[in-house]
Amino acid sequence: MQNAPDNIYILVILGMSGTFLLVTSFILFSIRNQNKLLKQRQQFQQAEIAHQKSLLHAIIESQEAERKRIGQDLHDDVGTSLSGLRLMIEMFKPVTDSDENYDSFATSSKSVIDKIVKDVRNISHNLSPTTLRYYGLVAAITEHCTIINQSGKLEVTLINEADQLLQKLELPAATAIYRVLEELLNNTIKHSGASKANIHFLGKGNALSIDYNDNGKGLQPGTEKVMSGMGLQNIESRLLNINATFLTASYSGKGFHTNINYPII
Amino acid sequence: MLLFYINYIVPLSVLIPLVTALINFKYLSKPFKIIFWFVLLSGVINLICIILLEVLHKQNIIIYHIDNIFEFVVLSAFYYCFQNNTGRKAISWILVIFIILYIVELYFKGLSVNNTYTHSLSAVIIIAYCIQLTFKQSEKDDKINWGDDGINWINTGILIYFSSGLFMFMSANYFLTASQFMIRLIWTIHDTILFLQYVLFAIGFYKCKTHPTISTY
Repeated sequence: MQNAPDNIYILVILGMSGTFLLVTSFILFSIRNQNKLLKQRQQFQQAEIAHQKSLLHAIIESQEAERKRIGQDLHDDVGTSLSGLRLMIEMFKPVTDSDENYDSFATSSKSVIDKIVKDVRNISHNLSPTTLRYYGLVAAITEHCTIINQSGKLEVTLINEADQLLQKLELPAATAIYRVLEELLNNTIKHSGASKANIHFLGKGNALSIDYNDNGKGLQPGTEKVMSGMGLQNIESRLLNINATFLTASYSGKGFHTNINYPII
Repeated sequence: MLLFYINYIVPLSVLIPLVTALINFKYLSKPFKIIFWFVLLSGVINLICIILLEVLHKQNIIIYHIDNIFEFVVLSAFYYCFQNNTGRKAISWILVIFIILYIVELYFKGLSVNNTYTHSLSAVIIIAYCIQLTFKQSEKDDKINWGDDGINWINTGILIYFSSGLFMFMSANYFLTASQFMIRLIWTIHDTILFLQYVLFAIGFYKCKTHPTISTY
């Protein structure tokens, strides 16, 4: 019996189908593999970010603790010693009652000591704002704004429409926001040439929104350079540490504006 | 119905990637533009073949010879964009050798039959290009999904078309004497794969915005 010859066309069709299946499987396998790798890489990056965040948290915490310690030391030790020195000068009696040199020496010494005491108190408050600890964020910011307004360098207006939310604010977050606003005000005074600045606290659901703007020259073109400066980096790291976001608008010549959004859980 | 599919639906499906490419034309980088011109000229060649065969009832095998060379040159140019210096030199040499071999085969076999050896060889080389790019893409230190890179879709389209069509290219001369039914069946399968290639190209063009051109040059 003679075998029937193979039909070449059927073999070609089978070959085409088989290759199609093989190639499709190869591609699907490659896609799965690549996406799996991408997922692993993303997980690794997320873990790395979380680790860096915890390191940042530890740095900021220790920085705050150190500031608090130095502030307290300045206030308690240096402040007390200066007060003692002032008292000693006051109590010191010269040999003759009508010594004009002594009177002028005592007056000028006391005024120098008063200035040093005031400066030490300011430095101490800046390092560790007691108002923030005892009366909350708005009180501390108000106090800071009052000092700035009194200096005549800048006119700062504070509007608070988030009283209830601010009550729930914990100290680490309040400290971070205080430091950020302090830095922003500092930048406005130093670099913007502004005469007015506004701070607006607003509650948006469970999120605290803080609008900050001034009427200075704003961010100049080439903002990347400005953004990489230490001040703004500090702002970024402090906000990142409390999971807050911020958006900075650059309107050159129309002032500086930034919005901070902090979700309070 | 099959004739309508082969003669009209599949040739017209070339418009899918072409329209998608034209919509995103300003975002197309060099490799995408090469594929755009490849699709456009393939469509024109296809149209000429249909007019010659169906309207003028003339042999269109010469057009196929031109198409084979054009196809290999353009696709080599596409893969050239992703090579380093050595790869680029290799592709240039491959092109020269291929064209010489094609002309030699044409000389020995004549114009009336398909150049099955060199056409199949071109398909094998293109498959090799595809696999090399697949590996290169998988090694890329990108933060994007496989599907978000338009080049992956285009490479997949080329790989599926040439690997599935390889058996057909090898046995093309047998089909010259095959029954009408078998010819139509084979062409239907071929055209379906071609249609799939065009759809994958269209997706690639659609995703081109997310693709930064990679080159190890």
